[in-house]
Amino acid sequence: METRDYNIIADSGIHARPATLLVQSASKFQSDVNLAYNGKSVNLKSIMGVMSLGVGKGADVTITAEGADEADAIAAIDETMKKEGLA
Amino acid sequence: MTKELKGIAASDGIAVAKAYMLVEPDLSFDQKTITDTDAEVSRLKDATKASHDDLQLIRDKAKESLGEEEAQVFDAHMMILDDPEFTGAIESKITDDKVNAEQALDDVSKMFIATFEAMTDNPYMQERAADVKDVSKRLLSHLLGVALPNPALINEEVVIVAHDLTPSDTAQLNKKYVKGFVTDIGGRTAHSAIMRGHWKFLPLLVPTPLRLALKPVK
Repeated sequence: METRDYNIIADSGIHARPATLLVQSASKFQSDVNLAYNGKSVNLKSIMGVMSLGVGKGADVTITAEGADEADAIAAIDETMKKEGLA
Repeated sequence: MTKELKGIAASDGIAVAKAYMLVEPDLSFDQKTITDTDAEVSRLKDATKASHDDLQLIRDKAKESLGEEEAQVFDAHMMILDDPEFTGAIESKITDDKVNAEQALDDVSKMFIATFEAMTDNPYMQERAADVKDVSKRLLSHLLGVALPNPALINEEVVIVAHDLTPSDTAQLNKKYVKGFVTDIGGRTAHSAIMRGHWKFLPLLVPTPLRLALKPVK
């Protein structure tokens, strides 16, 4: 299992556009990918799951990937996080 | 058939064109107990695919007539259809509770809509509740085998006649062909949907009550 922690720095948190891009990144991989925040964990391949967390600025989140391509999945998501200025 | 409607001019002007009745079909259904759950899940998958095809077509049309930004609302709709938490939950409901796909869809979409609408401090999420409603309606129409009106496919001059319009309805309309609107004064979102951008320059008539004059197309 691959795990990565982030502190969200984007002013509007993980809102519409970045949420969409994160889901698209995660969906390319076979591994199970989850996003945990505030004691709740959701499927990072689910747009409704991600949006329902309501992750705002300053939030500490953890992303985990588990499966055959877990390292690649985490790397791709990490790239999206940085490119979108989320963390 | 001739029918005269009188009302208040909410936006002045004169428009002469064919009436396009944007009327929702009857989407009522009964809860049923299912024995062959595999067949029911596959019925759901077919309806999902058909809805996806609709949305892709509408998206392409919307991009042509309205531009990329307005078309993106349909990307959001397709993502909901692809969402494993949404379709997965509907499938589990069919398999575990042995209910028909229509009932399973209704339960799951109501659950998400309630969650999003409860986020009252977040207007963005409340808008997403409207997206879930839109997508569920489309999926349900395919399950029931009835056609939803697809205003994106209008290709002649029309006056739109509707009880209510949502922003996603107006996002599908082609500026070139829509000459005016007739909507019910009681329509909850029509006014705000029309009063944005280009549409606010077109004549708008609000008869009341219009609902009685509109019958679902069979």
